[in-house]
Amino acid sequence: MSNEEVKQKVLVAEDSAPNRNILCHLLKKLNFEVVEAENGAIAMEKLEQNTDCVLIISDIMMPEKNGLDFLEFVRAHDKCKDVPFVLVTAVAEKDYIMRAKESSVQGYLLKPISFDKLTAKLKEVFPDQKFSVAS
Amino acid sequence: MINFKNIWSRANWGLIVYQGDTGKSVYANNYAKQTLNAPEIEFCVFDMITEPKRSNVKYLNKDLLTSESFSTEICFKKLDGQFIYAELGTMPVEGEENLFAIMFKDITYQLKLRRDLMAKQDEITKTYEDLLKQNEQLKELDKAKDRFIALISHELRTPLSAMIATSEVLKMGLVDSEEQVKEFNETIYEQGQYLLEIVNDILDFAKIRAGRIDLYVEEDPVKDFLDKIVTQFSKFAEDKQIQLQVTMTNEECRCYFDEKRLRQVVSNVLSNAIKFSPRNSTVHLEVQEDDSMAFILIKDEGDGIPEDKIDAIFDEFVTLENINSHQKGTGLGMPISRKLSELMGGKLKVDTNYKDGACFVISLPKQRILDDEVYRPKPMDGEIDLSQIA
Repeated sequence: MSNEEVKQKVLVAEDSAPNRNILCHLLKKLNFEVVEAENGAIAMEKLEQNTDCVLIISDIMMPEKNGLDFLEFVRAHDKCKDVPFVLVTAVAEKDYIMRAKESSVQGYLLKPISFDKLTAKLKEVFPDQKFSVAS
Repeated sequence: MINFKNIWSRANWGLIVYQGDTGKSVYANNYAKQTLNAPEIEFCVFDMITEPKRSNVKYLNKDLLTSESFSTEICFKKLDGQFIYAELGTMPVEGEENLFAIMFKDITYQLKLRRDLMAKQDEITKTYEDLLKQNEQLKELDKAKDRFIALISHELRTPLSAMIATSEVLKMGLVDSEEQVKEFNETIYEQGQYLLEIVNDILDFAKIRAGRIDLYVEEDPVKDFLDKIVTQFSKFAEDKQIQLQVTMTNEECRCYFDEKRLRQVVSNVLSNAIKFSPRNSTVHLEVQEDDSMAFILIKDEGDGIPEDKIDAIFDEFVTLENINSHQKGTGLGMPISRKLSELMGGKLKVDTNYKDGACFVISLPKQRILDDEVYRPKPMDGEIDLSQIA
């Protein structure tokens, strides 16, 4: 019997390495296991390999497929269609916002996101969980 | 008895009664006589016939004058030779064997008005269509501006977000090791430098568009310039085991350039060349010249650029949208480099005949072809040259 806790998986899709690294670092500190993808196409592949993800956090402007394409892919996926999806992006274009709304995202956060904003959104998505930083 | 003769003599229509065989008039009312500039004594209606000149105009002829007819617009000549357009009817006089009558109304003026009106209408329609087209273009331009701003703000926010998020983590002490602290500090520094690059590029781009780039052009040897750049890029090239090779047919080659701006251009092209070169290959820098220009050719051994994609390289919209997320170079590098080359009196082109990879050609003038004021020594980097200020 393993005493290891099973960590919840989060898929992070972000093409800018420094942004992706820091977000993943924070999520790990919040006790998540992180699956990383540097563009929309890789994000789709990684999702197929990790259908047990409890949350997806994705940028919009990415090469190959953008975050909105990825979102629509997830919402059409038979295993993962109800996985909470949060967009984290530097762009607040009306078209993107409309598309995001139509695919029911759980959040449209603007970069830079602070630690507080991130934890507030996590509390919103997982109201029964407590989020604290592992030292 | 109704005095028809009196009525007709004062009528607003011309009436001529004439003999069908000779055309001699036996009666013409005042309107007819005045309009036709006819003499008091009899005249011949056949003198009103004129040679048909234009294909879309009906002309008076003998057949019409000896039968029954009606024309809404018919051309003939007055007895003084002037042309006239009229609404005109002809008929044989009942009860008389050889008599015919013409009734006509001069419409020359109305026709002219109508023609002028139609011409004006055509003008208006054309102006309207031109305006519609211009309007479409303005709308496109407006959309393009919005797109540009959106792209730029994304490019600015990306490194800025990385810097803020990373420094927040450091502030909160959410770090696992000294190693990580160093890593995060490095990230902040690099992202800050990258942000500076983007801001400078945006400003350059804006200044270029506003025609406000200050150039400091001197005549210098190309070899010294290239040697410096190659040294600068040697580490970057080494990381991919890429060789930078300079060849010059004439080592003494000199031309006119702004050192800072040419460095911008060559750095941009060279970093792309290295970026797109396979490991262990060579990037060639060749210097050629003809009578008026010097040429710096930068050739890589990568996949080359498909001909239909060449224009897109210099298009700020395309390059911004495809900005490489590894952030070696900003989205505006190529468009700026092209404009800077042109400002220096040269060009930045892709040589489509080179098939072993991509070949960029920067040309620079060997003579002074720009405005006199740009030929001045450059200020020190990071320092304003106060001696240049009056």
